[in-house]
Amino acid sequence: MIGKNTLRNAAYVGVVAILLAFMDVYSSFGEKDVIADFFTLSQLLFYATLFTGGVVAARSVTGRGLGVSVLNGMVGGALVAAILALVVAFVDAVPFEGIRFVFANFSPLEGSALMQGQADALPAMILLVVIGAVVGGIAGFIAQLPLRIQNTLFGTVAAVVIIGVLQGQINRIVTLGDALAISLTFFVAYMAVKALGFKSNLELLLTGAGVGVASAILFGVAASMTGMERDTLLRGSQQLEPILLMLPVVGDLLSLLVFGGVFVLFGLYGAVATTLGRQMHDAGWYFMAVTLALGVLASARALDVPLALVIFVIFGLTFAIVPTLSVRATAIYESLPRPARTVNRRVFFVVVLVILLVVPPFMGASLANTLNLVMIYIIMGVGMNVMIGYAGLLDLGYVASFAIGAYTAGILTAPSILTCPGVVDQADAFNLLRGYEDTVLGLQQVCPGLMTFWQAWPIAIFVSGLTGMMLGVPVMRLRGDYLAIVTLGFGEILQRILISSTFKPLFGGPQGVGRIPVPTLGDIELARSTEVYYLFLLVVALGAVVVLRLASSRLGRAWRALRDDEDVAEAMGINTTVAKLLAFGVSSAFSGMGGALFGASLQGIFPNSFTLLVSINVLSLVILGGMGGIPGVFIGAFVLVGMPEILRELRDYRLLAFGVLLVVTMLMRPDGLLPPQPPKLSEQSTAHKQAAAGD
Amino acid sequence: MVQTTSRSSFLRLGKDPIQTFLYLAGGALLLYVLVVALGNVAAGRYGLRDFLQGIVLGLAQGSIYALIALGYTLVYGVLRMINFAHSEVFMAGAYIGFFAINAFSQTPESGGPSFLEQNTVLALLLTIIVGMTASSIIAVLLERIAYRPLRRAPRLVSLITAIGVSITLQQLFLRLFGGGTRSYPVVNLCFEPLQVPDQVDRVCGTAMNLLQGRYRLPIGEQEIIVRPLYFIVFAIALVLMTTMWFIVQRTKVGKAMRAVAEDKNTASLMGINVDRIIVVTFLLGATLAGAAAVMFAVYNPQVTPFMGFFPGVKAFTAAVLGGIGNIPGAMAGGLLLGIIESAAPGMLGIPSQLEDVVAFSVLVLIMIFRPSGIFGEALTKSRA
Repeated sequence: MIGKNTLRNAAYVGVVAILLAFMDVYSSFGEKDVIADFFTLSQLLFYATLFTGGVVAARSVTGRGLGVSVLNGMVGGALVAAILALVVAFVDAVPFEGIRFVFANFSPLEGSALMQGQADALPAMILLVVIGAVVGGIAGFIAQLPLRIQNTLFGTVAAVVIIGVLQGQINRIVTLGDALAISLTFFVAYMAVKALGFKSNLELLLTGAGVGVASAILFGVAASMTGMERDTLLRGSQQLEPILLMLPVVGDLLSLLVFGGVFVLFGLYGAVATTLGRQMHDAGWYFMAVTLALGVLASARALDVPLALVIFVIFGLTFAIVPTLSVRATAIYESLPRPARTVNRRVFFVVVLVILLVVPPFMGASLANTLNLVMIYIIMGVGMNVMIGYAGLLDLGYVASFAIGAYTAGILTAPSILTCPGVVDQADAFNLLRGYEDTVLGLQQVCPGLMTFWQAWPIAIFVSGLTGMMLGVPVMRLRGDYLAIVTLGFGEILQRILISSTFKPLFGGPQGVGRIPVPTLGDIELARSTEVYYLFLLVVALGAVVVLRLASSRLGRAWRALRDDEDVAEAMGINTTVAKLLAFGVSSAFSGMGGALFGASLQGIFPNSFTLLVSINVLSLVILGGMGGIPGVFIGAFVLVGMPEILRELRDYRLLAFGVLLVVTMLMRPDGLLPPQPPKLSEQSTAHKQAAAGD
Repeated sequence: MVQTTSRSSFLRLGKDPIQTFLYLAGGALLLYVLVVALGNVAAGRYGLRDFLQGIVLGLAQGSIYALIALGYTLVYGVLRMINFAHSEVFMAGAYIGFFAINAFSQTPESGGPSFLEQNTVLALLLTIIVGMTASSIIAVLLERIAYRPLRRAPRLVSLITAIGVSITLQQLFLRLFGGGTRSYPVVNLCFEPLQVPDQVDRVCGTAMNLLQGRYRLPIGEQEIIVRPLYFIVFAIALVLMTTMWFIVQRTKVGKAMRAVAEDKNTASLMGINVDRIIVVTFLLGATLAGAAAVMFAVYNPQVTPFMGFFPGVKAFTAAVLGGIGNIPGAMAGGLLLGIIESAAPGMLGIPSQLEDVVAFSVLVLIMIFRPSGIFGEALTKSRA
């Protein structure tokens, strides 16, 4: 009855649970509410641990019926709980100072998830084991359900939990009114097409546009008629103003046009989504689900039980129906004639573009900062992808070219020893400038930088590309691990040099380069993160296009040949030296481009930002996303850089999670989350097949 | 005729311009370093005293590098992979060792001297053993969980896994034991037979304080500062390395290790349990790293979760310097790197902030000009 691996596997989970317990995960760390007055983070983690124990145990006896699965799940959950109960007993028996001396983050267990509201150790321990058995039994039951139901369930719970954990960051993005308007338009257009059918693609587009216009009129009239009273469904609570629905109230022509345009676009997208490939189709549904959930979240102060249920239903329905719809949509998409497919794809891309362009007013400064950071890493990742994904060269000193780009642009644009040695060399420009209102502007009047950001940027890109190539010369013969170690050495040497006092007049030592002016467009300063965002967006788009074009060029093919077998590539007439050097140069240029932007957007650079961890981060996001593909870089950057940045509450644990994630990814999916499709062998012969596959 | 061929192969101008350029640049660099060094010596900024001082310091530091380097070399020899997480295995030894020595240094409730003060040698030995055990456990778990499933995976995958493991271990220790630095207790060990009457120690009086003492040793007209601890570290390291050398060369397990390093498949056909031998390899390397960690922490008493990185990278440099996969090479490389590191900054007038740059530069230069190391056989392309 009990599988032979059940106890062992559950015990592994138990060991991890002990570590987590002494890291204080189940007590003071997770006091934050996930669902207000109902569920804290530590309780969540506690139940998740027990659940994992149950699942692991139940999975060790697959295919032996529901009863056995539930029984093993109960045993597994109870075992994990018993191990945690031992922790409780241990903490009860040993003086607290002793534990605290060794496990410095540990805090008393009173009131934690491990005590389950009990004051004494013994009843708590018994209760723990009982809870463990129950949770484990449920886990064993769920493990027997069909895979699709399991996925829906896990996905839904995960979505609610993520929204609950992040609520502090994301509860001021979009009002319920705006969210409803957008998602209803999409939904109605989708359903209209499903109900009415369509004879030609034009008809499809007209249906979508019609639904868009109709709902624009409907919501527009509703908004202007009701006068948008506070605390109504349309306007939402006072903390957050709707952006979209306020447009008809403003009432001038431009606002009305924007208002109508947005609705028509989402209507079009809803209609077109019925005939798109899987990823493009699903993206629409998930986007709508997330928008709606954010709207629901914004309608109250905190995520409480009813709201959580609503969000649960939203995601549950989405996860349940989307796979079915997606299969049908893909089938229709593949049966469409080529021009129609192109049109529909373009509608999708226009919608994505519009969403990206209108997003900054919705998000606050902190989310915009996060997004900007993600985009810097995307730029670097795109460059790193050239090195490792295309050319197969592992560079652990990638941060060096990032730093070179940042410092070049910084030194050229900021007041520095180059422009006014007298002022800056005596270091205390601030003292000199006491009389000025704004020290940054003041110093720039006394002593402007050598050039503007727009002039310095190309120079920075060029310099970092060139140094990248120069560093590539000596390591030409090295591959794999050796290359990694040498480039790691380069990165460390550069950081030491930047910090050292020997070069302080130029690089500023540990204080770095300060007072870097922000990029300006005419009279507009791109000072705020929501404004710099557009610059980043442009660079990411350009970078992605450049790399995609490069990858399918002669050089790109040479790189791939190099990666697969250097000797054969050479024998085929590829100049491996040139190809390798160009890989170094291109990737470093990308990194330098990101570095220059990084310095300008932060208005200062510190040598401590350029550690080995940056290189490892970039490398990991490329690997995690799937080497050699651009979409993978985006996914990787969002997962590895965006999530930890948003999860500020888990800040202390994010690097730990990062390391574990890296190892687990390599063990489970060595190809990454979105591995690129094999390259086209020859344009003519596979063109048809590729198009049919929904590329 | 013969002469022309050899000359053209020496310069290889037409064939491989990059290699030629590299050698020319390397030669120029070497020349520059020599000129600077000689200049400093001639100007009297660097003399025999500084050099000897550097060697004495470098021997101790270098023997610790050598011990860690052996771990890299052993694993590389058998698995052909760089065990990036070895520096964390080292850190774990120092950390767990700290808890042991800290427990020994507690004064008993009945009063009186602590176990550490009473039986200093025994306590220190026990600490070293605890450190070795901790490192071994971590290394064996590491091999089992992270590396074994990836035995046949591409090298890039196992390298990235190793980086991930390294971050995980660092963060695990940070979260479990906290980020504050912990200091090993100050241990004094008086050695009565050796009396130093003219330099009185605060604790031991005229007897020599083996662990904390600093003694002036006259060299000609000048004098250098010597700590007996340096020689103890060096001696222990020598004993450990000799033991390891004996295990690898003279025992059956060692023979199996060498067979696995030569060819895993053939070795398994010969009845060798390859998995077991790989575990033994990790174990041996980790034992040495654990011992090195405790010694490192005794004379460098700060322990943090991030302490492994620099010794790790430097030990790796040492392993490469001696030719990775080559056991005597790792020992010699470690000692050499220790000496270079303590002698070179003074000799070249490098500011103290840039001292770490020396080791990294040695690493980069060795990799570029002689990736097979000083003692290593020429690497075939498949290995490099």
